[in-house]
Amino acid sequence: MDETQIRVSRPMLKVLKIMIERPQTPYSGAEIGREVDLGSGTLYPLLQRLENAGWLKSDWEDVNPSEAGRPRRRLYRLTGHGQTLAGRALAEVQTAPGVLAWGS
Amino acid sequence: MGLLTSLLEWVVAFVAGFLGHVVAHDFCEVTPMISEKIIEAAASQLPVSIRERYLDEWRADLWDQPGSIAKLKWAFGCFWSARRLRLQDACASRNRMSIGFTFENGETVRLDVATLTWLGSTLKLLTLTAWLPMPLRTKLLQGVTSASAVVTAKRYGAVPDQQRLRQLLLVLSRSSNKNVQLRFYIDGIAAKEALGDLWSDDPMGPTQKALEMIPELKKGRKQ
Repeated sequence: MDETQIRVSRPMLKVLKIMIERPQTPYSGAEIGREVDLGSGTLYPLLQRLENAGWLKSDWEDVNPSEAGRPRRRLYRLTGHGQTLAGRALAEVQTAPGVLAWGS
Repeated sequence: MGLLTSLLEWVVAFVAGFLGHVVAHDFCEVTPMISEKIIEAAASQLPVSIRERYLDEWRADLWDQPGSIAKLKWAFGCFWSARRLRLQDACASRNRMSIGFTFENGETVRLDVATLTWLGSTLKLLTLTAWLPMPLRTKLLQGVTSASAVVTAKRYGAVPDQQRLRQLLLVLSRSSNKNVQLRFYIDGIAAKEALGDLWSDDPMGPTQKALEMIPELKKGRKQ
């Protein structure tokens, strides 16, 4: 199996949906969790799977924690390849018969 | 009497309210600390290679959680996710496995996954040629391993470089020494933690063991 192919779950689609809307915007885990209403128990393994498959990449936020007064965040964004695959996965869900619309 | 009862009720309600406030206040005070401890415990379950990254990430995301209850909930979630992250990382690490050989003199050689298949076939050859004197065997194997390197490069798209070739030859030449320690690593050359060790006084022991272990390591069963 191709390493970039992963089983796309419903929570994963939710994450991909918000990320594909603004592909250049980096999101922290906390922001993604808040946006899609996912707990940390589900979120981080999901992000790791997407990252391992090359759909997402993550980097540390470019801030000085002492100046910002908070720890630096790990920010995720879609890769070019991830955008293509995410778009395809979302399109498949939207066109699949009998699939209820999810999210808003 | 009625007035006294009302007064008592009022005092009890006041005290209960006050204590409730104190307890709630204390709970809010200690919850971030408890959450932090939970996150540290969660991160400690992770493999070394990803431990620090997730600890920092979780701390930052915990900081962003509004309120004590949300922080606590997030921290418990991290504890749960650590287990799954560990499993997923083990699967993803299949391509980052390595085998290390530690020799009597303390020298360690590690081989990464691109070399493993190559090593497997070469070790078979080593077993077959065990009856040969070592200098002759090393010389013979040198040519064979170079050829194997080309085959491996074509098949796996990873070119075993000169350094790897030297490492392998070193393993082969030293494997006949007594007291060879075979170490199995996950996470490739960066890992500090060995999966397991095997000491052997039998010169062919470690190489035979490596032959048995390689397929298992490649399947990611060993953690």
